[in-house]
Amino acid sequence: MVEQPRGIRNLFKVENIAKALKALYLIFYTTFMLFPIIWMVSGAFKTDAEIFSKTPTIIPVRPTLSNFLPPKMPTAMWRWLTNSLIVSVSSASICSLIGLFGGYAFSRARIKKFKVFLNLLMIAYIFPPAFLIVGFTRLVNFFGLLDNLVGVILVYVCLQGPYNIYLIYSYMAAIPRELDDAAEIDGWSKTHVLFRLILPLSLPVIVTAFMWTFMMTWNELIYALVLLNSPSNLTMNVGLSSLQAGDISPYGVMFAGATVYASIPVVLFMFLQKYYILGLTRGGVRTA
Amino acid sequence: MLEVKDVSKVVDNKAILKGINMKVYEDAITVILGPTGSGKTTLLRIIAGVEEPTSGRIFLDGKDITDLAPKDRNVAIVFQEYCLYPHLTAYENIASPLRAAKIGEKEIDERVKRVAATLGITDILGKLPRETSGGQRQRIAIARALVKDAKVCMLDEPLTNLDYKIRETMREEIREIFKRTKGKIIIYSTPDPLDALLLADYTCVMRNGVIEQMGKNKEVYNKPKNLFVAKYYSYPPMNVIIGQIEKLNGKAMLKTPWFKMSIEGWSGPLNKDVAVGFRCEQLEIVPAGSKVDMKLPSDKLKVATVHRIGTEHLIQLWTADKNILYALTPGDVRLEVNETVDVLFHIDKLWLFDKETEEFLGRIYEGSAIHD
Repeated sequence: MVEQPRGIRNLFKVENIAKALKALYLIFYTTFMLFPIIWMVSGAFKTDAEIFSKTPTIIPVRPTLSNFLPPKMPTAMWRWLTNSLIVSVSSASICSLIGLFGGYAFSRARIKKFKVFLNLLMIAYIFPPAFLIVGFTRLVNFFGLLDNLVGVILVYVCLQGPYNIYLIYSYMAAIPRELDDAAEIDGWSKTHVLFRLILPLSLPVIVTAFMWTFMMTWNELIYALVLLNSPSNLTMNVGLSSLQAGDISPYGVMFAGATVYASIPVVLFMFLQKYYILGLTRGGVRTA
Repeated sequence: MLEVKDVSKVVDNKAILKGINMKVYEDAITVILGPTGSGKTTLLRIIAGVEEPTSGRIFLDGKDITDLAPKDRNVAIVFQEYCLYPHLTAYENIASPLRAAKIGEKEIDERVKRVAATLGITDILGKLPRETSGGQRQRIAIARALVKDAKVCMLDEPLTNLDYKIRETMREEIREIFKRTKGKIIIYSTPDPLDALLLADYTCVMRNGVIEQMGKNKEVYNKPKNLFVAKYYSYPPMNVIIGQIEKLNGKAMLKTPWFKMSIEGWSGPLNKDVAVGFRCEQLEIVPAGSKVDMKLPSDKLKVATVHRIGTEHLIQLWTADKNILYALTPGDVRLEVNETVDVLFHIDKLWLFDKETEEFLGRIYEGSAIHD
């Protein structure tokens, strides 16, 4: 019998077949998940004619930037993008601050019964956000903040604040209490202990909380749709959805808007991913 | 002087400290010795001000400091876990108390470098704590406490997290460092009796939140108030056997399974079961092939365990009633587990305790009772 070359023998080994199948699955799954995004980015640089062409292409045959520029791109779109940035950055910043103070207080509470309130915070998440929309709308209206970005920010803070407190508390609880004691004995005030000791050590989770809230509010549609009306007050996702009207929607412009909209969290994540991963995986600090 | 008056601490209906009264003097090392859970760390934290007592007061040089914040108490503490700030270099860790006191940069630099030189850590001042070894971190923690120049300097089990060899070296260094300081009150807490034996000028033995005995080192060692202090403050542990004190022909007679002796001048209780204590160096293992001195009480006992400690072996021996006795042998003597050996009881010094109450009854020195 002629002996097969070793390479061909290895090809038919069970473990190599399994590896090949796994790789095929991953390629298929990734393509399936990424394809809509690829199609969106591709469509942003195509003319309307190419978008509706019978022969679909991934790489534009005649790439164009016209979808990003006037007159095709409505000037209001940059206003919407700015509104989204204002809402998400403000919500994330306020929630991170609330999480910092609340998480620190809970993590250092000496009275065990105080921690019951921590569990009560999480009860808010039993209800889907859409369930609370009527109540929040009436509350925002009561304060005269309908059709106002401040009203939307306050609602987002109410929705995301408790989670921020819990997330940051979980991280800070792993920072030994003795570090605070050591700093107090050294002569530092409690404020200094929080800002000069605990905060630098908790930077990963603060960044994580910020990014999480940013992402949640960036993608949020229902509350923005209900609470904001004027074209100049819309956030980007509400504004983009408003472009869809009648039989023909400006797909090229919508793709372009969505591409810009989606790229901002990606850029943010690229800069902050190191802290994000640390914040999610590390349960506090290992002291020396 | 630091005075602790009637300090108690109750947490979740559990008494951690019960009516602690103690006076700690300057220019001496006071060691608080006790097992885990005896309340040593809680007591130190109350003195430092990071925990409040449920009742009682703390006085430093006559001034009531109970209600003062930690930063106003003139105390420094070296924690068991070192508690170095992980994001700051060794230099910044040591300088921390000086920066909190808003001292000038030049003076900070001088004092940090001086203390670092004393502790031999000048070359690691630029490193983060995670880049240093356990022994180096311990020195950084001690430097941070020393640089503050506080009146009260407390060390909470500083050697617990170090390995055996480094612990021996650091123990010596700690003694040298604190012997050179003047006018300071040094409190050192430890569960290891060896630390107390080698470091203490004064020893305070604690158990279950209560001070069992406090006094000069030698006094606590030689005149333990009860069986717990005698057994705990002993390295290796004190041997204890059960006997009886009876009256025979008008004299007090001590009877144990191994020996009987009459006691001159015994004024303690008679016709009582007693616990008889003697140090492990008083139990001699006769080398194989040697003649046994028939003048001394002896027995054949089985070896339970053999542990090397330094240049010697600590031998645990089974008695007939399954008690353990301890003996030391030179490092070159090799014994096997389950081997039967001849032992001699050197009964020149004995400590007697009431078997029921464990209270100290008296010492016997060469057949004569000493009631202190």
